Amino acid sequence: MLDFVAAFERGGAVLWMLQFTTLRHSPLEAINALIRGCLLEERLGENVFTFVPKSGAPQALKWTFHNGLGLVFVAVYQKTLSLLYVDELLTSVKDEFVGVYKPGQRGYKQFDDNGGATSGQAKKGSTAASGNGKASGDVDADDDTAVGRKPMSNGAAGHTSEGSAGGEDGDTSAAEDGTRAFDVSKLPKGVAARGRGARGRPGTAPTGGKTDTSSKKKEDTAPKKKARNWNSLGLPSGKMDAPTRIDYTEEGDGPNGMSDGVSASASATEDEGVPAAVSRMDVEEEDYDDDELDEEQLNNGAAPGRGGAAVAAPAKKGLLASFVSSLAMNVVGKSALSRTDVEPALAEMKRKLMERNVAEEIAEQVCDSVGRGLEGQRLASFTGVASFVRSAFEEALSGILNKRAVDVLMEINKSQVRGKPYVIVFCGVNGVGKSTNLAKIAYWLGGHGKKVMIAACDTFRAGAVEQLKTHCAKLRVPLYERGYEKDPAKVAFEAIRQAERDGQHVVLVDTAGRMQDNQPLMRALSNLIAVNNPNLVLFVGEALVGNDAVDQLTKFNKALSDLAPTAAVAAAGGGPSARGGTDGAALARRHGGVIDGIVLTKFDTIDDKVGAALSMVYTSGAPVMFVGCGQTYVDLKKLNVKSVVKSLLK
Amino acid sequence: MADLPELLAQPEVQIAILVVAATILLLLVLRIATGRKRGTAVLLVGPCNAGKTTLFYRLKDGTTALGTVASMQENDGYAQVRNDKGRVAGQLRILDLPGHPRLRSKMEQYLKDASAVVLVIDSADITPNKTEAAEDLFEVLTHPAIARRRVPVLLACNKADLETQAHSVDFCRRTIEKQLDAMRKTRQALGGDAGRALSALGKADKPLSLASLRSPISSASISAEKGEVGEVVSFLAKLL
Ligand SMILES: Nc1nc2c(ncn2[C@@H]2O[C@H](COP(=O)(O)OP(=O)(O)OP(=O)(O)O)[C@@H](O)[C@H]2O)c(=O)[nH]1
Ligand SMILES: [Mg+2]
Repeated sequence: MLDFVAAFERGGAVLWMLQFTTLRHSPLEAINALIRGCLLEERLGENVFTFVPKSGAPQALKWTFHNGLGLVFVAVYQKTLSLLYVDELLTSVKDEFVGVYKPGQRGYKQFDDNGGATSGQAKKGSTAASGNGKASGDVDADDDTAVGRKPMSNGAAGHTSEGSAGGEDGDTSAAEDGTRAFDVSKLPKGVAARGRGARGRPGTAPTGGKTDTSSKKKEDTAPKKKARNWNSLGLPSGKMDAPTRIDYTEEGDGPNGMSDGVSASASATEDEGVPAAVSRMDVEEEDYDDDELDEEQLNNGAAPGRGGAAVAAPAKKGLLASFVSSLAMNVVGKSALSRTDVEPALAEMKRKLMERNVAEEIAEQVCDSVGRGLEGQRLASFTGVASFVRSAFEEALSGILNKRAVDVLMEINKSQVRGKPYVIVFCGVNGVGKSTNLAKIAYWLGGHGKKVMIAACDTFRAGAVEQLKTHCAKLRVPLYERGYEKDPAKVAFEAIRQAERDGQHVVLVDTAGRMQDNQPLMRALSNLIAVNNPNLVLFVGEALVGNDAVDQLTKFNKALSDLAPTAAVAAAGGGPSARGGTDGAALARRHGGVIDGIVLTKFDTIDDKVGAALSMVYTSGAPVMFVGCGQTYVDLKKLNVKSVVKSLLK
Repeated sequence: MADLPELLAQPEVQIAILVVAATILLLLVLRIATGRKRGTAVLLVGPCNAGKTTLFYRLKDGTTALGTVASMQENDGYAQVRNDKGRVAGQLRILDLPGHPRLRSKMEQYLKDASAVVLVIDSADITPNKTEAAEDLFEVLTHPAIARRRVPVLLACNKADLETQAHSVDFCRRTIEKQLDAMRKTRQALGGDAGRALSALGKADKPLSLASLRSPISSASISAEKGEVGEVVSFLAKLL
């Protein structure tokens, strides 16, 4: 049954809400989950969002925007029901509400009291849907009043009545709106039957009675505290410590020009003693301000025609004509943007993103989502569509990439206080540079006075242990290995115990590279994670990867949460503090994933094709925590979101 | 109005429009150049769900109406500030910024123009949110403009009405102080942040103390929902 319908501002103020059922949790909880898990994640393309309350059945949420006024309308219903009228209901609520909306006014009590058809019909919809009616027959009368009062909502009312027509009554109301009616016979059997059963007999629960319920809703829904932890990205962790910039300064004085790959880095280490150089993680970026300047220039440059002309016009007489036309367009004839206005600009953006190696489906979803956000907005004066769209993309992309990441050093300090080693597991497909980047991170941690131990849990690929041995000798950190043939989960377990005895601060667990489709190996990995409960799981991925990025991350995340023994699943799903036992060490796993962060490798080889960063972050919901950008130990950086966004939109 | 395009095509009209546009541009430039000194708005910042939007509407309208959901956008408005005799002493622009991490990057640009900052925290939920709260405070205090102008900061411990769960102001303040101190160390370890005024947090070798920082930091216990926001109002009144 329909649980409730609400209208709120993007700023957060709830303007109107009509509740049809009593819920055990605050209805706002579902909306908050929607906002945080979907609307703010540039996932507007999905049109249903599922909210699973702590107690009670999952709810489905549908929404629609009025971008011009900055309003959002949401309808919430039990997931198990397939309500067919929700979309139309939302549209008609929106249309009607926009009519009475005044910016600044809060509370639209009159809207649900005499709000006419929509709320009436919404009530009816829910009454009908709840399907506990008995008497029929007054269907028509009911419909008539609804329709008579506000013809606008005809469509939705039509639905309800059509449902009844399809049912046993077969009355005439279907004819009245036949063109818009659903073809019940086309629906899957169960749904159609339910629809019929539910809608066949509306009009029982008297609408008046319902009004009472709805005015009582205030008490029912008085927001409860504690109602807030679900998706709240309860991640009390450090966004600011999120790697936010890349440093392009050539710092590395280690040997360059080594041949590619893992063996090369092993040999790189041979040339140096424990290097004295500072990891590039720690070097301040110098071009911070230039960045901003450039961006502004770029912005202006990117606004072709109108935007650019508007700025230049006062100076140059020759541009007068285009200036005037820009005025006519932007000041005089300023109207809300429609999908068709922005379509060309969106297509252009999508092409650009894919050119930068963003996976196709991600580019598609992001463009779609930004497009939805743009519809109905008005151009600011002196801006062209292209630059308007561009700035929307800029905001969306930096929003996606600016993820809160754990402040690893701080978390390690915390573990240290507790006398427990901080455990980081590295996973990924073959040949992406797991061991190399693990060594870089070991080096970086060592530079900050952390005692690091490396656990060789790649008991699969020949030579893996030896490779780590070389790294460890160079870095002078202890290696825990038990050769090959051993169960990696066990090796990791023993390594952690050993580290605890020796008073090590951090254990870095290297695992075998595996293809995402290799079920047995994936199971082994999820077992390793389940058994050892690491504080941080890092996914190592190549910046070179294109469309495969999505597949890799989805499957890793899925495998890790699905294949894990049940106890571990419970732990992983049991809230932010379940795993690792530290408050805030683990991030909220929005998509049921387990991966906490991404290490992006070979970033130096990709020029401006930085798309993999976007694909990976968007798919996994995890931040890029480290960027590997070269062959030496110092070549480890933070992700510079600004410059990545710039490259993406260049 | 149908012949607008023709009208616009006449040179006189074009020139007139041009003159008007140039004047507006000039005025805008002047405003931006002069209005930047003292800061124009009071910012409400803090973690998600702390009660910023609730406080915003409490200050602006005196009610919180139907409640709030997570903000996706900033709220901007004017609050009438009453003095202790209950008379309206003036009005201030207040800006409620969304607490969601994805939208936090906006804070930077608003801080340039802040006349005061109210950091709203949920005193019943301080422990899981302390990192975020401290980060916000870090970002505020180390912003060059804030550090330079000694912008006053109020630590508003909200939801004091939840008596059994709410922590005392003192506890909140100390928790955040400690967190900020820990954060400052690792932040320096991470190579500092370019363009941040880390010196605003005091000497690195001494433990951080909120009381001795350049910006005056006061704290208050409030309940935005129940309307107990007197301490915020008197904080605002001092700005007038
Ligand atoms: N008990 C109690 N609850 C409050 C108080 N102030 C706010 N709340 C509740 O806290 C929740 C969040 O309030 P908001 O004002 O939306 O929080 P916010 O800081 O704007 O959150 P974001 O927009 O996500 O950053 C709402 O459910 C409020 O009802 C208070 O003083 N006491
Ligand atoms: Mg808010």
